[in-house]
Amino acid sequence: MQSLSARLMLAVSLLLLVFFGVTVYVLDVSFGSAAREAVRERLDVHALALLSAAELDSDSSLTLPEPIPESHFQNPGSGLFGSITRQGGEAIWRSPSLIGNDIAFPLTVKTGERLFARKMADDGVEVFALSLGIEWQLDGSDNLPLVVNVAESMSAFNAQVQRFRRQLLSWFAGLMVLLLAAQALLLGWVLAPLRRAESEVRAIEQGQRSTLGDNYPRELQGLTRHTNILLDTERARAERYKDTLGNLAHSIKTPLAVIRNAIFEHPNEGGQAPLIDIQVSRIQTILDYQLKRAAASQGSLSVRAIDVRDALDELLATLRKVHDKPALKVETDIQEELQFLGDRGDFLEILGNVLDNAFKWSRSRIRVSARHSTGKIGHGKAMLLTVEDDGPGIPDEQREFVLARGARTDEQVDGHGIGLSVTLETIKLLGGTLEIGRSSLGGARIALALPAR
Amino acid sequence: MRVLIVEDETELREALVRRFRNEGFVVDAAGDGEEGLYLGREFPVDLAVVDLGLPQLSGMDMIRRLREEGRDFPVLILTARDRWQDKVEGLQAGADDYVTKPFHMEEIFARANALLRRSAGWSQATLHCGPIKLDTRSQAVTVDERAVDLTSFEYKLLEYLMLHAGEVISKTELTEALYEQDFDRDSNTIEVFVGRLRRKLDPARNLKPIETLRGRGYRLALERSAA
Repeated sequence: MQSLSARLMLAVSLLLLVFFGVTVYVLDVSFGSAAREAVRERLDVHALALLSAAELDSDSSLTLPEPIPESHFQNPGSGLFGSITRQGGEAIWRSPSLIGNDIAFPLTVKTGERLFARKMADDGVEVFALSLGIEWQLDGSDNLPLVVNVAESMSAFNAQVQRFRRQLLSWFAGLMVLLLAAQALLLGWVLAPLRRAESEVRAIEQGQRSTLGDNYPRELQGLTRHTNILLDTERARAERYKDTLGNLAHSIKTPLAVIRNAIFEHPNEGGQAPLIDIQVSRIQTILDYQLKRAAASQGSLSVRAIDVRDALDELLATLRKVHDKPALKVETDIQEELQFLGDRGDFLEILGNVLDNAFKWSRSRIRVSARHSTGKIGHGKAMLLTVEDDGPGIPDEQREFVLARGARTDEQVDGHGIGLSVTLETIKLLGGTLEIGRSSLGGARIALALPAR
Repeated sequence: MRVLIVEDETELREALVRRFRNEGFVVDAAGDGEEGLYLGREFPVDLAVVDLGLPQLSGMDMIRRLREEGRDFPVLILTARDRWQDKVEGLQAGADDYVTKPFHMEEIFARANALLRRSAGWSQATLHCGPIKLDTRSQAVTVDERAVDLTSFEYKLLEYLMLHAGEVISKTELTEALYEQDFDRDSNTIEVFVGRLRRKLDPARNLKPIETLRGRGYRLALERSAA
């Protein structure tokens, strides 16, 4: 089972069920025996009442008055039965309620003994029966040994027990619901810091915060502190890594610049200038390609929500300075507050390369638009970003070539020809796509699907 | 034109200095950011070429400080870091253009010239004042479509005056833009060159392209034409 709350809920519910089950059972048993005891006492009273109503005839036989004082003995449906027998079973008196019915009372009961038992009457009704052994003192020294039997139908008893059980169960059920509700609230409160940690980790993933917050309960502080340390060291490592790449680029490319310049200052020495220049270009292309690929972010630690409008403005300001095209018109149509989800460097690299191409090739117009798309990237939202120009466009047969590693379609335009291919690789790493098409402006239309917030 | 070159790699710096001098530039060179900052503050620089990976003060910080102090000459950065993030940051710090290493020297010149032209308010590569045309790429000068043969120094003088057409340029400014720091500054030399330039551009003496404003300097008096 994956959920802590579900585990706790299940465990506590089972415990409550066992606890309540045992409690209900014990209460039921004690109530049952108390009720039986009450029935027994009542039957005792009935038996003694019968005895006290009995009179001894002159022929030493017992008679009971007609009608007897306890009216229930008269009525066959009353559920109260009685009989008096001699020891051995010879009936002296039977209550009218026993007419057409019989109960197998014991034939002999020791004097002074009370036998209490459940029995089945002949008509199938269950009864509690009490038999009392007595000796009736006759004149002189003779005693008449008798058995006084009384029985009561169990229906009243059963009804009472049922009522008790119903009440008991409804109370306990109510209590259980209350306890479970209380437990759910309690769990919510206890697990709140975990839920907070979870949402903060998600926020870090989406670039909305950089570390886990403070004020966690003591049990979680170790975890959150170490997570923060891990995040910091990973970020520092990523920074160092990018720095190292930059330094590597600097320390290799500066000597390359020296070599290239030397062969142009002394082009005729050995006649090797064109060869060396081509090799320098190759080294540069390989370096650029591999360094840019290595610099493309591959983790989620540098993920931020990057405002598309801001990034676009920064790039346009740069490109306007760099490309000497004062008459160029750039139309932008960016959805309000649209944000790219990822590394800022990656976004600038992708958009920068695509825009740079548009600036190079366009004659007078560039159109940039971006908005949320209906598609998804991974589990997240996506945006469609298009860059169009009114330049010559990219012919169908060259589209694959343009995206191939290290290609450039025109040697005349500066740039190292690795722009779009590295862009495509970076986009693939992010789970996006790049499509080349034709714009209604007449030139190329580059459509990018990128992760968005 | 006075160019400041800041590059820590000696070989490359010296090559840049040689090439810019050959093109008629006055060159100040520095091997680190602090020295570059000093030269940029002290001299009337028209253009700076700055490597970003400098010891002591980084190229980026040097440019930022110069801009904060109000120095607005165009800056061309040389960088080995060619991620767009680096380029954007470089240009946000105050640079105007970049060239990535390893570069061809021609690219540096093309971009340097374009920056100089643009910073003087010219949008085209050909400067056009009245009948005089000066092509900054081919360094060809014509008057009424007639080619004029100029020495390197005369060309630089004319280019400077045309770039700042309509403005009064003092002799001191011209001297500093056209001569090295340690050059023997004899103001008569400028007068001699202006005289030669006048004769070559206007042999019939009816155009009168360069005015002398007594005690203040010179001015190219022809209207800038939209090319």
